[in-house]
Amino acid sequence: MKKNCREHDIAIRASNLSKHYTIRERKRERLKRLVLNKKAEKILRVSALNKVSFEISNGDALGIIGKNGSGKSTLLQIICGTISATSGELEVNGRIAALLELGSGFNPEFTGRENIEINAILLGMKKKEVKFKIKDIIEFADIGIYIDQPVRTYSSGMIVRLAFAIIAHSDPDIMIIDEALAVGDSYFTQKCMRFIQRFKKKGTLVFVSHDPNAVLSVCNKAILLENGEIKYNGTAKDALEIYANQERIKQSENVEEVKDVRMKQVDEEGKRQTKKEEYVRKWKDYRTEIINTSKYKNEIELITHDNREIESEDYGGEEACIISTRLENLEKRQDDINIVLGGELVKLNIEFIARKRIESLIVGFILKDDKGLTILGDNSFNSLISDEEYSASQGELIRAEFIFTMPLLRAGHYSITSSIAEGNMNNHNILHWQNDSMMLESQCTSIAAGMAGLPMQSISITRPRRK
Amino acid sequence: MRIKFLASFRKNLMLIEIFTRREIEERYKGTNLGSLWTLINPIIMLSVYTLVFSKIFKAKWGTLSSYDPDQGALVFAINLFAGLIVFNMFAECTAKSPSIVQQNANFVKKVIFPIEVLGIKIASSALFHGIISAMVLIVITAINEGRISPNIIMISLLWGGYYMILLGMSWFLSTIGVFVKDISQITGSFINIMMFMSPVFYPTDAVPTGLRWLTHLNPIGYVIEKTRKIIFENKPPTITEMLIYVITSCIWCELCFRLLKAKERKFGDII
Repeated sequence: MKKNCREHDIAIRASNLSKHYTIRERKRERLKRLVLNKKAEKILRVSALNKVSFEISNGDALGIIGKNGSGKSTLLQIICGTISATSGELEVNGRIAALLELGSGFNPEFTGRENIEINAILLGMKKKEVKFKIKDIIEFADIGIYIDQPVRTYSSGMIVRLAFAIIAHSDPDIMIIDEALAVGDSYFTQKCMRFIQRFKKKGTLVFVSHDPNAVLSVCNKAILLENGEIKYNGTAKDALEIYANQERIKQSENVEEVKDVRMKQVDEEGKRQTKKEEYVRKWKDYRTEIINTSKYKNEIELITHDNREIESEDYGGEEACIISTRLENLEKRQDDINIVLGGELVKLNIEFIARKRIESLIVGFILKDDKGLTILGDNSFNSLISDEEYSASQGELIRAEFIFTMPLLRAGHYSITSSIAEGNMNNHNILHWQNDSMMLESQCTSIAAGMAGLPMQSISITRPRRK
Repeated sequence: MRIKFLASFRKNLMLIEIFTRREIEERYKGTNLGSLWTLINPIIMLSVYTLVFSKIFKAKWGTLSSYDPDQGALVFAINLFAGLIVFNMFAECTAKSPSIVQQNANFVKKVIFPIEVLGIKIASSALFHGIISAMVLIVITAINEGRISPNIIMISLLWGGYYMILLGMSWFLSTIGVFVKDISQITGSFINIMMFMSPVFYPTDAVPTGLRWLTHLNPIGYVIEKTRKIIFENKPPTITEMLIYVITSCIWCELCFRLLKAKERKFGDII
């Protein structure tokens, strides 16, 4: 009963929050006016927030979206308490940790270590707690010897690493993250996203980002702000759709241009219809050849590295241990082996060593983007049509191969997570789960919309004859 | 009436420690001798004063009518030094306070920060340097006179009150400094004026009787005079006098603290 009640608790309740700034006359003008005994000119009032009301329940993840200057940061600052609202009421239940813009609360002259101490105390940690956690924080931030240098010598990426590491270890009830993670590299962004996903299970999250995918992957609810007012308050998906629609109207001119190029390609491709059958069999986009010789070629670079050096987060590994995850293209191109093209047939090899006998093993992988959003994933169990079960003896080297058509990917960083499990789909034990076993980078792409492109078998435009 | 600023001290002890340590270290950052300079500087100053004022100027401490013609070479120098120690504490606080909030904008705008810590670190660092210098002074005086009086303990009460006066002033100036940026421009002249208005280069007795009430109103003058009386003349003020003085300082400090806390919420909008 009690737990049920808690779930309905309100973490943040805002009613009619408004924030007005008055833009005053310049000091010198004011002096002149006082001396000459003139009347004051009209004082300009700017309203950054106008009667904003909303509620966030415990455990919710709320996204706040909107253009620059729509009042997102002002709202967050009021929630954190660093500025006060002109009118309205705010109720916050729980300990807040916030990552507001770059370098939240850092003194640039102090070293990283000192800034950790200060910020940890400000977040409500006790002296003992700080001493206990500082090692973990430094490890999470992972900025090496810079930790004892003044923060002013840091790059923006390092500042964000440090800031995130601190709030991640402060064990807050409510976490507020303002568009900040964008400056970290893809490893760190992934790490933060995983942390945020874990945090969501126990805490309340307020998340601000201009990146719709990031909001969608993290938040279940969202508020759309426009000129300091709430334009929409509801599910993240709907809010983003409304936001995207209003942006699209403005960008429609650009879209026309892209369409032109696409039409041209379709025209040229029309002449190659004879090869259609082959494409059907291989499940290929009928424009592949032309795309792959154009600037729209979806080159996906495989970033290779030694498995032991990557800062991937694992769990398990005692009973089965993944030793390599490799992707190779199966089309015989003479290119760089570190490049695969979207739409090409590829093979993913996952090799692992069984440290004990494994009955009915499952090998799986997930392809994720840099926001931690899963693009696709599959495992060996899904593909077993027969009742046959694979097993491994102790010390055996096992390789799983997945052959599939690489989807066209949007430009950005991607990672492959591989895992070994024992059991069946409904009931299994993860033996080894390795995040970021492999990194991919997609440079440019021909996909029109969505996170990944499917091979189009044909696109045609005709004029049906009227009778 | 609850004394709120003391509660804040208890609550933010750890932050105060970090910030004050930093403030003190900052001054000697990168030097080879490090914090030894806190000790070396006053010794050098005292030597120079002795050389210049006693040996070259042949200056005597006291008014024309009342000075002791047989006073030693050190007397002028140590009297001047005592005045300067007290005055420098005031000067340090006045120079740093008006712009301190502005300089720490990150703490004001991005996190919930007990803003009073900034004033505390300024006053505490000034007190620290003052205490080191005072120790040099007391040791030199003890060697010079060949004895040390237990009454010297009274100086802790005197300076405790003085610390609260300075702390209140730091809070006051840092609050005003946010709203009126001109403050930090005027402090330079103000410090200079106060240096001559306070009995740093002269004893209080040298002030004409008609103007003497001015030095009594000036809290720095009072502290300088009492410090000299305790260390050099072994004439400590009475306990009652000290208690009244400490309580007054405490009230001043509390008022300034409340002013700061009342205006604190506006800082984020202005900076």
